[in-house]
Amino acid sequence: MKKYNTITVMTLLAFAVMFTSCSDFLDTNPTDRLPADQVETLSDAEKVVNGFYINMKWNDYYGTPLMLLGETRGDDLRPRLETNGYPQIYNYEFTPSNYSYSGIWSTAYNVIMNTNVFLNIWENIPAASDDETAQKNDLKGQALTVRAFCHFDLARVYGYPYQKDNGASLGAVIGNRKFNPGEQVERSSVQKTYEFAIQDLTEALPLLSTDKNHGNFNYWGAKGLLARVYLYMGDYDNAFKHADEILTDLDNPYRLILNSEYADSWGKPDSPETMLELLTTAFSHIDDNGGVDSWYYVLWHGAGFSAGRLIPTDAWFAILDEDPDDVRHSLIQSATDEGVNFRWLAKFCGNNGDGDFKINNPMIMRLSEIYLIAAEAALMKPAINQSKADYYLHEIRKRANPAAAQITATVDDVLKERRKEFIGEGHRYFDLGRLGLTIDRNTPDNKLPAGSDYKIVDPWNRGGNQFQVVLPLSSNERTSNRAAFQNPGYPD
Amino acid sequence: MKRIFSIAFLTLFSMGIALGQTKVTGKVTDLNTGEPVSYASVAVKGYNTAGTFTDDNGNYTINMPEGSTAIIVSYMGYKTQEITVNSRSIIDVALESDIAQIEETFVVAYGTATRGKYSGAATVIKADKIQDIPVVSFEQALTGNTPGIQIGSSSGLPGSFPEIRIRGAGSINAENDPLYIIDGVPAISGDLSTANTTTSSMNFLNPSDIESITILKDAAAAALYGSRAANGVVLVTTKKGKAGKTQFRFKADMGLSDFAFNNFPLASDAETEMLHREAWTNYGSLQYTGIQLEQYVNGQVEMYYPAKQPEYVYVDWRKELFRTAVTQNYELSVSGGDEKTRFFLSGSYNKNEAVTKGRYFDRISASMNFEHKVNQYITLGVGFQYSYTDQSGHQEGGAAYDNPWWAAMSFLTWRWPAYNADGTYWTGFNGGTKAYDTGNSSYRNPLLNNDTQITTSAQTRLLMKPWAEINIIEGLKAKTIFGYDGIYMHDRFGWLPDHANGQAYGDGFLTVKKHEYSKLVSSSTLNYSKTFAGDHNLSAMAGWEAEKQSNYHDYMGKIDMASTKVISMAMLANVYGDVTDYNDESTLLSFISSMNYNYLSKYFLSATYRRDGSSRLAEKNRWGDFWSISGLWRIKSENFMQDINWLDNLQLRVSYGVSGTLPTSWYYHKPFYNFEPYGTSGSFYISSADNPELTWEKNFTTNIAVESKLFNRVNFSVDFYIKRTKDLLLPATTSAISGYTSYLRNIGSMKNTGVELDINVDIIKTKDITWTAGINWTANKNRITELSYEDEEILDSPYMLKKGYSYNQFYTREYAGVNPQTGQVQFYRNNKLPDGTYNKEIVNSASDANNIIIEGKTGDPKGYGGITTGFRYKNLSIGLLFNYMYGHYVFDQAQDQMSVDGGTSFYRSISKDQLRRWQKPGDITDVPRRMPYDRAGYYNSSRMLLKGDFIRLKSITVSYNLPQSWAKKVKLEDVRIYAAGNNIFAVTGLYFDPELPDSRGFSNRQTPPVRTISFGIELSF
Repeated sequence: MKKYNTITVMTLLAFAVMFTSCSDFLDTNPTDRLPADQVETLSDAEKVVNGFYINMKWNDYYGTPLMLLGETRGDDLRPRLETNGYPQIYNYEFTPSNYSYSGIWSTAYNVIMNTNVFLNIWENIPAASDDETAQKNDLKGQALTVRAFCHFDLARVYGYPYQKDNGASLGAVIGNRKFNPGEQVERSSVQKTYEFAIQDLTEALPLLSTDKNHGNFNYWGAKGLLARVYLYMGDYDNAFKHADEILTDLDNPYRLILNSEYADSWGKPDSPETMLELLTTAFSHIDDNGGVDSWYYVLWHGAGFSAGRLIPTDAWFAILDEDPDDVRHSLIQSATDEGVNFRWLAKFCGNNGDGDFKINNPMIMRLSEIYLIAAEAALMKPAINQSKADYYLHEIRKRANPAAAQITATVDDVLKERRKEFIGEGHRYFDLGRLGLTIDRNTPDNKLPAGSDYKIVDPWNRGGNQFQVVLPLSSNERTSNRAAFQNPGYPD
Repeated sequence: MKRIFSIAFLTLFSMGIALGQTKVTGKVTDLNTGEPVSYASVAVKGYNTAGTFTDDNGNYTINMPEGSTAIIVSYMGYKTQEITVNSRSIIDVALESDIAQIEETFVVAYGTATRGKYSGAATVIKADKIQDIPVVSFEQALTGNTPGIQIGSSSGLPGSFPEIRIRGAGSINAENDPLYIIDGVPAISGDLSTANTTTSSMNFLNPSDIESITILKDAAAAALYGSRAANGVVLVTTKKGKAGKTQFRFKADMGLSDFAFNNFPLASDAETEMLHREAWTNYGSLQYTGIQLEQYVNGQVEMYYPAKQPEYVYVDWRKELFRTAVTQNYELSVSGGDEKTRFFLSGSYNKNEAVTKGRYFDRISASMNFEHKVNQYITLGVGFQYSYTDQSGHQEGGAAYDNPWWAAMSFLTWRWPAYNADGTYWTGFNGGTKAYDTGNSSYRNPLLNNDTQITTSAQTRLLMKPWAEINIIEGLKAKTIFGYDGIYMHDRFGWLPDHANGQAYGDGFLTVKKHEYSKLVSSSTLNYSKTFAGDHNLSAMAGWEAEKQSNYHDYMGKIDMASTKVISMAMLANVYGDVTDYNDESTLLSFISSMNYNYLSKYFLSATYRRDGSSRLAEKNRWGDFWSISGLWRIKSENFMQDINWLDNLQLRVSYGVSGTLPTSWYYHKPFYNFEPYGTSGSFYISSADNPELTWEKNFTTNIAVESKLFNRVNFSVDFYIKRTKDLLLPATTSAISGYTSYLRNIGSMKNTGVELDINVDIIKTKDITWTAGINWTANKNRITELSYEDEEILDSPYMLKKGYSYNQFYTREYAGVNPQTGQVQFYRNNKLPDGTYNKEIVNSASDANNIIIEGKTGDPKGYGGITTGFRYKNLSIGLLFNYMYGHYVFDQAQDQMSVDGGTSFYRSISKDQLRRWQKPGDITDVPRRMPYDRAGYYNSSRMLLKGDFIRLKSITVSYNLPQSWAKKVKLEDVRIYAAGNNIFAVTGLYFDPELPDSRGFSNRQTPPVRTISFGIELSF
């Protein structure tokens, strides 16, 4: 009998042991991801902030479509052949179900969500010294700036240009907090969206670091963005103020690239004038496909498997060719394909300058833009400042050709300089749009379908039939958020 | 006198020295036949350690300890006898056969059950049903053997992954694969390969090491496995040792394989040229006539179907890329033991060539089961299964030239050169004037691609199961089992520099992926059984189980190979893509219990209950309850049935219960930051949604069944079931403002309703001749009964998921045939009218036609099953198994590119059906005129939906045991020679193998099934 008891007790013990301390057993974590609630230190927080930029570089935001929207909807770049190089964007074939390019909307909101998740926990990040407090503040400043930047993009892609109707058209859903899946929230006007961006940027400025940092927004980048936002709004006083303040501030760590540096500067990151570029590496491409879904692939016409599917228009070459000594000729190369000679844009030759165009940092803002914002705003503001405008424009012109004579600047001169300087950087369409200028694509070299309605484009859609100048919300987005209305003209 | 003296001496001796150790001898025979019964157990009542066995002639000798009074003689299939010794020293025993006991016991969830006394829906497949069929994994031999199981397509490459569906698909987004339990331990299952080939994780088991397979189908049977049991459970029991003489068994077989079906017949060389000529004539006549037309046609034909050049070598691509493959299999097993210790050991080597040249599957395996009875309380045991498999496959589906099958089917014509005159591969693309070398950069010689593609997957697997059983007191038993399942995988995938993709990535590309999958399981149960008041039998079980699965992965990729002679990471120059390693873990903690009660072995009532906690769900939703209740009424045992002599058995089973399915994603319930380098620093970002509300999919199953045996010959059972899946795990679209465009939710429900019928007849039962026949039939109907909102349509091309329709409902353009006057292809444009009906408008362009639910056409068979027959005459036995399926449609993804009606891909091969094309006004046919640039067939439409009905002679086995007298001469106990084959022939209206489509009826251009005929010999000694 004694033997039975021993066995029974042992068995019961074995059963008892397993019920103790089993709560930990059911908590598991992967080892290639960090649980969101474990962002606890400044170092963690810094990585989370870097994550905003990682998302922006993807091939459904800055890596491809946003650049295309800024370029091939305009008059500077065109497809070399009808069927390649995202002809749907070139042809304005946007529909809610087929070519909605909804990745811009969803990726921008993914970035906004990430900023909001971070802003919610920002308070809890410990900072032990003044340096750390400054760093902590800078991180909040970056989150606010990135949030503003995404809202600004949403407004300019999904809303009509501000100056058309003072921002009365539908803009973004203001992402001032984290939304739950399935939440129904309406779109604000373009005006409210801009207001929200300005508010974020204004709050961010005093928090941000003034150190040069080419892969992250800093004080100068936020201020430059503020200048850009005001420029789009037609608030030229403020646009000039912020641009001019950057350029006249002695602490400004940037300088224009020199004429002698210009050709090579595109083959390396962190040039002296880069205010923000999104960083790509061999281990962090623009896409999951080795970089071939980036728009730099479409632009490049090098050896091997690259494409060269988008090339500058004849009109653009015409203005570049006005000055054969312009340093920007160094970014143009010639090629032959199936017996046809053509020139193509070799500006984006890869971070290593070796023609590995697939590793290419999307350029977001550089000092040249601040010069040209200042020049344009100086001419447009109620109290014209001609001398500043002449000076700022000349700085860019003489960099392109040191022999260039100083001219009395006009807005047209500034816009023309922007075309030459920023080709491929995603500005042209938006420049025409913010000013309500007509885009003439009815040229012999156009590759539009025969019956295209978009040979002459009015970004303000004054005729009412060019509603595709703003992108549609995708039909999925409409179905899942009934409160956010579709843009006019699109089937709903 | 001498004898009397001896006895007297012995008696004195034993009384004096051993004090009560008396010896009993005797012979055990069969009461009916008088034949000796060898290996019968003879035990002393009350003394567990004193037993013995009868020898070959049925004789035994046993020592009776002091105080012992009786012996117990037992043997499987006979009634156990207890005989009081009464100081006798010679006791001969005649055993009476026990029909009731022959009724098999079989393995069920956490225990065993006796056939006829089990209230769940379970099917048992014994080893002898599958033992000789030449397959790599046992799963492939299940087809047709039992109702309720559908085996979807498995590629014809050996070792590839088959899809198993038990009672239909119950899930959309979570898994539909069953749970595999091997000797009580949940095993790692699924397709684990990452080398661009599929592999079944059950490949590691040599089918010959399997004793039996039980398939649990309803909740009563499966709910004890709780949150993983919704798709049914496959219980595998491996062979154990049997007490008695040590038995050696050696088996060797060799087989030949080739495609089982004449898949996708192609037009001959002359026919192809004629079809090209016709197409270009049709096209050219639009602008040319007379001599101009002739010149134009000649030019175009020469361009796209050029005459053979003397400097090139042309081949029959199917012969060049494929071969008659050889398979070999060698096995040796040893089994034996005594009443205390039993063991089984086996080893095998299995070598399979694939029909595709250069591809293969090899396996070395070992199995060991050992158990030892320490004393009357404790029995210990351990099971071991070890295997090493080495597999090389290739990409399947539309992977162009990397899938040799698809390349041979679609891209390669009789006029594509294969070799240059010097024997080197012709690589085309020479800038010449023919279609194949004018810059069609996608053309690659598949011979070259096959040689320059690296796809190998090597797995080492160890499944280890130590266990202990303790008899605490009479009726109370504890069992504890510990399982470890470990898989070490080493996958390589890459392209040599000569491969087109190798050039795209650099100068050759190689990835090495290493995986370690491990599963640790510990479970302990207490069993208690007791009979009360003589008639009330109660048994209960309670226990716990903990399980932890870890998946460790290690990836590395490099480009720029230094050499193609030595291929390893060391010989490539530059790192490419992610280099990473990570480990995922999933844990499960469970409480399990069951209770069985019966009264007079006539009324049975059972209940099971399991509580599971899973790491895959948020803390608040972590615990779930799974249960079942079931009853069995043995009607035949009632007094009023006793006079019905022709009815041997009649019983009714009813069960209801709930089991579940966990999300396949292990960490969906909480948010995580992903890492990516940002410049020289790092970044964290949340990229995918999380849902803390996530919970199980739940399956509520009702099962009602009648089982019967008539005339002592006909076994009959019919099961009706309704399986309702609720809280389907589905990705729900959400507004992107949340940061995501979709997230996984528990929405929607689905229903599977079905009938299973199983009839087996013993037609002849005599000593020399037996003949049995059986048929099983299953009809399953699937319906989606709810999605996240009323009219939601989830496109899963070419399927549409919608309330009221099957999960396998086809959705595509509606084909309207060929216009008899013009020969043009026609589609319907279905315009929805306000009243919900459609106005059908005939259009001639696929782009004008819209996709629509093709009513009544689904991938679901109306019925499927098997027909078996077994015949034995003395030592010769023959078994046949047919499987069949009918009422379903299959979507042939290949057709759109092979029957292009002269469309854009006209430099491809042409399927034979093009000979039926429209040629002149008035022709009534389903194949349009051949017209280049028309692209008629190049679009998905209901033209590709084909009736999938078939019946196939799935397997045949012929086996002959040499007469024992012959065997004895060579000192062998038994010699058996056998021949077996699978996929012998099929009757179908399809022009490709009817088992090529997957379980949803989708045929995705993978390597078709093969027919294997093998011959073998088995020696026992």
